Amino acid sequence: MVKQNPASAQGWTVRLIPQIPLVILAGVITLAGLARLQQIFNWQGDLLLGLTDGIANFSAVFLGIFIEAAPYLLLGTLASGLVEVFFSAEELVRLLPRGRFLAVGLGGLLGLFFPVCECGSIPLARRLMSKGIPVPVGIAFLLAAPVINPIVIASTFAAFGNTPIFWLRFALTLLIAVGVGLLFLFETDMSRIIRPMNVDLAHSFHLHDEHEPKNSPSSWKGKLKRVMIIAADEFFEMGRFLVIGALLAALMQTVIPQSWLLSLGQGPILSVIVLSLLAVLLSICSTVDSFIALAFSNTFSAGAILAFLVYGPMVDIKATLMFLRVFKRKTVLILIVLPWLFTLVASAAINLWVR
Amino acid sequence: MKLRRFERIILVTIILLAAVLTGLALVTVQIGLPNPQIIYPSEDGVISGRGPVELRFQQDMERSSVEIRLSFEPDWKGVWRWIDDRTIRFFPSNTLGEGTTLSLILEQGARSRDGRILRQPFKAGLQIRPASLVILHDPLNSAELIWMDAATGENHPLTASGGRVFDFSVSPDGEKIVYSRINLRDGSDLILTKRDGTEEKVLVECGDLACLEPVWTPDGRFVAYTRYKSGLTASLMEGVGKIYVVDVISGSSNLLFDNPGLYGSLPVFSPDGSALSFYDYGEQAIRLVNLSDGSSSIIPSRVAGRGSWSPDSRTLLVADWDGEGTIPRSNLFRLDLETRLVSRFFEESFEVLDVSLPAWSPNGEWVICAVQTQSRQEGKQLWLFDRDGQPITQITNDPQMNYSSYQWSPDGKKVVFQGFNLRQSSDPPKIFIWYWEDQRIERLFENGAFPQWMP
Repeated sequence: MVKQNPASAQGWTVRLIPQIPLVILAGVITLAGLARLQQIFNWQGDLLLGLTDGIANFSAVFLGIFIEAAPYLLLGTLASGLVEVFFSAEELVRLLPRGRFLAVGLGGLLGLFFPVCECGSIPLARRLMSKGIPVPVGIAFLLAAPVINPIVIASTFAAFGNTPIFWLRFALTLLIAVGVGLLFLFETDMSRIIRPMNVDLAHSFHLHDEHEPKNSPSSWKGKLKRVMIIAADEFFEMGRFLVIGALLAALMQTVIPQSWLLSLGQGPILSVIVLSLLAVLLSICSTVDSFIALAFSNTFSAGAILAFLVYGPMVDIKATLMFLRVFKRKTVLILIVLPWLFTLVASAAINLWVR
Repeated sequence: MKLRRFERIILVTIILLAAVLTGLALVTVQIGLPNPQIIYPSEDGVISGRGPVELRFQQDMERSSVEIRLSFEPDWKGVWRWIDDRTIRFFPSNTLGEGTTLSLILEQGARSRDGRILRQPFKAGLQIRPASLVILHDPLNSAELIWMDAATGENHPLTASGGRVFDFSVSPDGEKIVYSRINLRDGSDLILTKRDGTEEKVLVECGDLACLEPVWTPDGRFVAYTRYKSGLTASLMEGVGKIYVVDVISGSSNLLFDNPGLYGSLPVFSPDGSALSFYDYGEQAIRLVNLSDGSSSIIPSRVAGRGSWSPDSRTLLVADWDGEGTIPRSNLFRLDLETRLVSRFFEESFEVLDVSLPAWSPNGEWVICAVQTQSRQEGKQLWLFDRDGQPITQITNDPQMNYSSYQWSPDGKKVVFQGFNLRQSSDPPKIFIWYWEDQRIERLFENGAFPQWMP
């Protein structure tokens, strides 16, 4: 009997875990290929047909979410690399207003300068916080940036035009993101919010000198190379969570039919709850979600549409997994529940009184 | 476990938000659906005998929850159609007589999409206004439209076109009039105006083309008309045009058939709006167009004229030359649209030399028709027939007069028509009215033509 060395077994596991997303990706592509082969060669059998239909649907949804989100994740990690290499902690903190409330408010508007969706905003928020941006400001940015950015403004306008829904989407997102960020001002020990491996993010409103990039290259070529290395590292780090998140979202969408969820969605409160949950379930990138919401506009109330447009970009399945890479579980729970309740209250009130 | 300050604040915030949400849910139960607004009528519940009645809600509605709770008291048959998620309109299938009062009722329980429920029944009183007349005044010299009260004879002008009105059509609900107005390029444009002659606007600008013979769809949304390429003067000689349909709201006008070889004129919609008939010159036939699928069929007719639809849209009466007699004569033929069988309308013993297009009474039981029976030198006289073509009574008997342009009043109790003296061709046409109840005929107007009821 061969005795296994525990140390080597642990090393094997550690080496394997990062490969899981690649295995998932390869598996899904294989499944999609099998489903296509079934269509081409017309393999028969009810069970086989049902199975291949399910697989084809699951693969399509998974690949759809992944392919849609990956470029924005790349954009976010590139922005993160640029911030890391070209901005010092002092420069960034100097840009912030002195008042804490104003700083958090500004955090909600920072997305205007970084056109990223929810996948891209997470690595960028993490980088900003690691460079000295206070965590409450980072949280306001994290929640608001997927909506308050030029691309989403343009796509929402294309879908809804100059209507109350267009303006309310941005107003509500900003209010909720800043509101949640302000609540985090009450936390004095930021190490309780973020994960231990990210303790270097633990800034409150104090400047820390030790976060200056060390051995920064001075040439442009060297700096750009460093940006690429940081972006690539972060892309693969966060990409794993994107793959797993997309997998979960695709599974949920395959298991829970949209029609079932939509059939529940009547009433000023229930419709809001249903569409906010649907936004989480669908995990659509905020740059295109307006067009999906437009399709619901004949069936659902304005408040419900707003809930879909406001809460979906803040929290969805893939983003939640990526949150877990940055924040502690309790913080992630707060980041899921608080924006949800704020969204429900605001959207239900709109259903009742504004319309 | 003792909570830290931050955790307490978050917990309190969550509890507060949950409480507010619960409060909103409770408020939802209390806040009911506001009463809908009635768009028609605009004047204290007074509407035409053809409706329509329109209800507008403040919220998008669950359609089925409204439809099953709407009714009239006493009953008024017809269909409710949604214009959009907040607006529903009633299209009656029968016409109510003037002075009829009724109530529109929406029972409690109608629900909006956001879950609000109508907590009290909504009730609105309605009264049918008397139908009035629109007449083409001075048609031989300076044609203008005038409004006339058939009961009192009171009248006033509706248009001031400089005598350039050619023909016209009153919308089924009596709210609008579309008329053709001769322009300076020997063409004619279609003009849309409200029932009182206000808010006039050009509906279709036709330049040197002649846009004539407008007719409304039963829902009042579209107007079909004939566009003659050769201009007005030549058109009247040649009579060759094409059928167009214009959307009254958007003003967009489209050719009914995109077929360069298909010419037609004299369009008429079936009362249920499912079909359009017009005269096809190429085929020398009435062409029937199914508006739901665009298919068409023809009924041979060598007499270029309109078909006359029965109110239930199941029968079409068409005039044609009757080839069986030795003397050339026209006759009326009945097309049963369900069986596609064609038969003579009049009974065998009723001798006819020439016949005009008949008019069905609103209840579909009676037909009035101008018929020449004795001599070619005599004018056509008005006759009343039952729906099977049995003559009931001869309404007019004045051989020197030719009667035409007859139309039943919306309540089916009167017929307005035009008479022209054949012996005095310089005499202008006159407008008459026949009262069914006492068989009385009154002269209404001295110099007018083409009278139409305005419900």
